[in-house]
Amino acid sequence: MLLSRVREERSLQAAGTRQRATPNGCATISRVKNRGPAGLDSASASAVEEEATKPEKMIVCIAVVGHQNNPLYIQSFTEADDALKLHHIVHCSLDVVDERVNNPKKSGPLLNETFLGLLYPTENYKVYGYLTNTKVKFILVTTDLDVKDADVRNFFRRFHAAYVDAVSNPFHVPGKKITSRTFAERVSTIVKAFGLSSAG
Amino acid sequence: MPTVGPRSGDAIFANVERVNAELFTLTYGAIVRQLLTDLEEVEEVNKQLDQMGYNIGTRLIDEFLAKANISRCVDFKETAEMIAKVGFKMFLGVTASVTNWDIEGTCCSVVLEENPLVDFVELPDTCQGLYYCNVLCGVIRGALEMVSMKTEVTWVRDVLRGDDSYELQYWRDHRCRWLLGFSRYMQLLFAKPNPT
Repeated sequence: MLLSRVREERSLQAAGTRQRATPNGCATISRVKNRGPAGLDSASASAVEEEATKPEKMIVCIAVVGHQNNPLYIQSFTEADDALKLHHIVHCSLDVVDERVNNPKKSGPLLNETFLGLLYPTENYKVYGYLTNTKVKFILVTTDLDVKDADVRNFFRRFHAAYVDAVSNPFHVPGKKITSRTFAERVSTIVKAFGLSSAG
Repeated sequence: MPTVGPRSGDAIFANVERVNAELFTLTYGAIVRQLLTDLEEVEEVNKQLDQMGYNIGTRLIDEFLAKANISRCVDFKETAEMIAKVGFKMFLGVTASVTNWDIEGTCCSVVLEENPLVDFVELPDTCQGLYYCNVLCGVIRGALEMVSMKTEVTWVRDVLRGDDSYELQYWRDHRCRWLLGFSRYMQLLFAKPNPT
């Protein structure tokens, strides 16, 4: 009861959260979609427990991949995880991106091509993708169990702005890795802001 | 001494034709990049940028005098103020401030808080000796030489090298003192009449 009360309070604090406290106090933790009125009791209870003991609203890794699927920038933000595993996840997600690009789910003028959304959930990670007009892909890997679409879109928008500034550097060679220190700093600022904004 | 304030610089800036700042920055970046590729030596590139600036300055001074509509400067102090407040504002859209005058009044520092030439720029480790905005030194030197003032302009502080702002130092060249009489004559000849 105490844990569910904590969860309820946190959900009330977070502005505009889609978490609704259902009568029995369990919040929805859905893996694939963030909508949905009710979750399974056991799943939500364990998720609530996890939430209360270990607030894991963290971005684990972000990557920028060029249009020929060459990596331009990979940055991980946790020491715990293996860099190789993250590279592998990013690599796998590129296939999903290619699939989405080649087989659009809905065709028509309303297709927003930039934000690709959740690519696939794996183990305890979620992977989001973003495609720029120059076919450069941004991949975001997060352990966040409950992340809002709007937050991710906002994150990618700011990340895109930082990327554009980094690429405008006359000393940057397009197609080579991004070595700008300013870019790295801006990215870590954006990541921190993301962590704070989505924390309950 | 005619007063020169930032307002006259703003007024002129509002009336001249302007170009997109990002286009300007990216073009200048491309020039520097190409010079580095062609010349490979950082010192050579610095010299070349200075020379380019000198060529620009010798032509720019006519436009400046025509558009700025200012009266003749009495001494070097006023000249420096004019460059900082009106010149930089007119051509780059930024205002500079003049500080650190020496006792004789022949050497001063001009500090630029922001510099549109260096938006987005980060010097790589291979080009650490590069004065990226060296063209500005050449411009000022060339412009002043056309009004018979021999100066030397160097960079004291540079944000791309880790300082907090851009600082240029102007030296009036002592060896040309005998030209003073001649230069006054030239100024009288080419100066615009005072607006009444």
